[in-house]
Amino acid sequence: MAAVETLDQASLERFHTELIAHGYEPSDDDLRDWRGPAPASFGALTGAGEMRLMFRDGWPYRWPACYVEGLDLEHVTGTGDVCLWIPGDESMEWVTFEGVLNRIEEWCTDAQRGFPDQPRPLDAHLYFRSKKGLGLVDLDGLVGPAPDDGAIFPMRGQPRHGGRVVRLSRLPDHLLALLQQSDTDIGGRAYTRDDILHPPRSFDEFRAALTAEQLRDLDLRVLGPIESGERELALALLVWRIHGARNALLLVFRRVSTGTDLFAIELAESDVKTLTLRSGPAQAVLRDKRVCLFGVGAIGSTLAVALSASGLGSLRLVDGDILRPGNVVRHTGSRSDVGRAKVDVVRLALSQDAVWTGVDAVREEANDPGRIAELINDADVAIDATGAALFTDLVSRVASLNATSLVSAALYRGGRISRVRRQREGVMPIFHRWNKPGAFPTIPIGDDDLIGFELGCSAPTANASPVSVLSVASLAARVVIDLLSGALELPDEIVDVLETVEAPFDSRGWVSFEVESSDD
Amino acid sequence: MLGTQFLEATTRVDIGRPRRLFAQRCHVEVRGVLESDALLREWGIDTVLIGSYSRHTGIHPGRDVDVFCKLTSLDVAAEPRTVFDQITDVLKGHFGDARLEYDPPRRSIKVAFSEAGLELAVDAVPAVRWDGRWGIPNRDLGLWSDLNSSVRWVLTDPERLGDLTTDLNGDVEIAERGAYVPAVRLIRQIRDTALGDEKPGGLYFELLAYWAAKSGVARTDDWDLFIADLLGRIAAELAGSDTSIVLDPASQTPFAPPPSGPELTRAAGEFAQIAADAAAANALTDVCEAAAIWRRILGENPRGWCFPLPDGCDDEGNEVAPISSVRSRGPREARGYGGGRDA
Repeated sequence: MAAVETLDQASLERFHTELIAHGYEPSDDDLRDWRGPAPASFGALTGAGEMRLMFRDGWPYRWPACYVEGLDLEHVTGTGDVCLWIPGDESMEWVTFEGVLNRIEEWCTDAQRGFPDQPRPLDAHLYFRSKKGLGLVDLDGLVGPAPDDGAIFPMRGQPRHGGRVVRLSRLPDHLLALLQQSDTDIGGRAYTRDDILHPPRSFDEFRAALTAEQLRDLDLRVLGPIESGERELALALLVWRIHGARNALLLVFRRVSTGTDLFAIELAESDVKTLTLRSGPAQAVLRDKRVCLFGVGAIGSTLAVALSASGLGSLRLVDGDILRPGNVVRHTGSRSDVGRAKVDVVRLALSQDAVWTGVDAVREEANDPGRIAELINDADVAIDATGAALFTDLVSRVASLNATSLVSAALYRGGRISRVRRQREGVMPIFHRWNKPGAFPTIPIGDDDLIGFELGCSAPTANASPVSVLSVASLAARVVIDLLSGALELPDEIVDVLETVEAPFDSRGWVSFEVESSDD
Repeated sequence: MLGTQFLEATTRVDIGRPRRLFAQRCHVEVRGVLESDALLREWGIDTVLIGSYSRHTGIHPGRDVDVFCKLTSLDVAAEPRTVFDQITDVLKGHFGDARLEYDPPRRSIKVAFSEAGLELAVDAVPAVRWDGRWGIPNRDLGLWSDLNSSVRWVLTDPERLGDLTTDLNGDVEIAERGAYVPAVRLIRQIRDTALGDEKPGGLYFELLAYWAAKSGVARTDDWDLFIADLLGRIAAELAGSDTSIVLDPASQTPFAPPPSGPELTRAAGEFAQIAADAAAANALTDVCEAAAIWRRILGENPRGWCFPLPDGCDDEGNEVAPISSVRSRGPREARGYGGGRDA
């Protein structure tokens, strides 16, 4: 080790001075590890008289790690690291020792009264020697949403990606024989308990947390096959409730020459609720909505992923094209998808990453008004991401006749200009706006499209950048969500000038237009 | 200009609470051992912590602690050998020979202590009464059997020196707080940085600081000026002709044994430069540049640099943007996403 790397040596030295004044001294030459009397606040929680503060590179952006022995509590790792702040905390109250002491006092008060629900320590593996990797589990699927206290469930772990991921699933008793025949799957048991106050921090505590029947099961079904040499690996999953929430710990037992080795693996839930935690506030609205998307190219595929990831319930993809190598830089598909239908590429991706979105892949060029009407008939909104003006006109007319809302998104002038138009009930249809150049200025023609051609494809290729694609897809997704949520806060016609061209698009940013009521 | 940094420096060079408490525990143990001996009790054994530890002028890490073993029923008629051997035997009987140092030319018995990474040596100094003050054995063992008691014993009054130190600390204040004692710690640290294990040692400089402070050091509320003035006076004293005679203000006897000529010459040279640097630092208007000079003057101890950097300065004397002020940002601005919070 070397001295703490910091861009603010002054504040580090000021903190050190505070420590000295409080009876702390460094225990190493690098001045990283300081030891001194444990604050009185800890007195009710541990008999330990000493506290260690470990300074890490990156001070003061990183707080000093705090270690006190004998704390048998939540928010303390197996190495004795007292978790005073949650990752990402920006308070910087640790910049002074006084700030650290204040936080410790708060922490100790919480520890005695019960920690608040947020943040909740759901990282029980940290108390054990951990191996890198993830145990994927849908707890509802494995043990049910409200399992009985003391229940036992057979399960299997299926290693993936070279063992970096183990997918856990329930295995009915009648399929146990399959597990015996498998060379790769790992057998195990899941145990449920109510009201365990803190995560087990040792194997002894793990055993103590089980009922007598669970303990017998652990010895017989998990440890037994390891100790007898019948299996190399076995799993034990403990699921319990704490403060009304659910916590779990996965232990892996491995046969080694000296006996049985034990380590923990970090768990990650894979149920829909967890998968949509980051889907944003619109998911409640999108869950029951249906979208029909024409054009699953660069803009369309990005839009499809954005809407699905945001919680969309149903998506119909319409495109007859296949993915070509040159598409990949702007498309959500990858090189390994080349040669497959674009709709299938996106459908497959969504079936893995957005399982809540029902996807209907329609591999065709829909140019027949009747067919278009059929495709959009059950949709809450149709989206045109074809970038083809004639199709935009056609779908606009069909949607208007069909009383289906439409959002059309396209890039122009080599991606310098993006335009998102929306037509909905009571608003002038898009096809009418062509005839209103005063109200909706046309995007001037320029020589900056740099249109190219590639072998096997007679359609010209515009050189809009992937960044422009992301930008217009993002804007279109916002306009769609604005429509589906009923907020209607965004304009119905937006031109986003990403790079300036001629007037009236000669300054960057949005140019939005008031769309009159439909005069049809 | 750098008052906060000087105050923090006095903390950073201080011995520190763990060692001070450890020294007290060591003293209590030594006292208990000595008081358990019948003969020493008969001689009126009474121990007291003396030296820089007791005067709060000691600097980190401060590995030596002086315990004054007053034999209140004996006076200088006693033989140094008799009391020295008795104390040695009692300590040896309890701590064992391996933890003791008592061979000549020592006039005190050193006992080694170790606890939880801390190491201390307690120097037990035998003392007998001498006209209201105290006599300790002469450093020259050959004189311990001299017929003249004032040759066998050396006059001292460490407790009085402690009182004088406390008094002077009350007289010399900066911002209504005693400044002399913390200033002595800084002077001792500066000496340590400049001279290391060379002589003159810390007590010699403490006495120089005492007389400098006594003789009209600048009365100011500015630590920079105060320390620079003190250093200037000490440098001038060292450069003078009577440097070999520095009086202990408590016993009014010369500091003994005096430093040699070459030792004094070297110390005078070093402190002339230090005083000049200090004056130059004070003439600067740039806080960072001034701090960098003081940082070099005070040097390092096991806790790092003794003179801490002011906010917004690096250790080269350059201005940098302080980061810690970012802490005020949190409550005023919504938190972003990312990092450990989300990904």
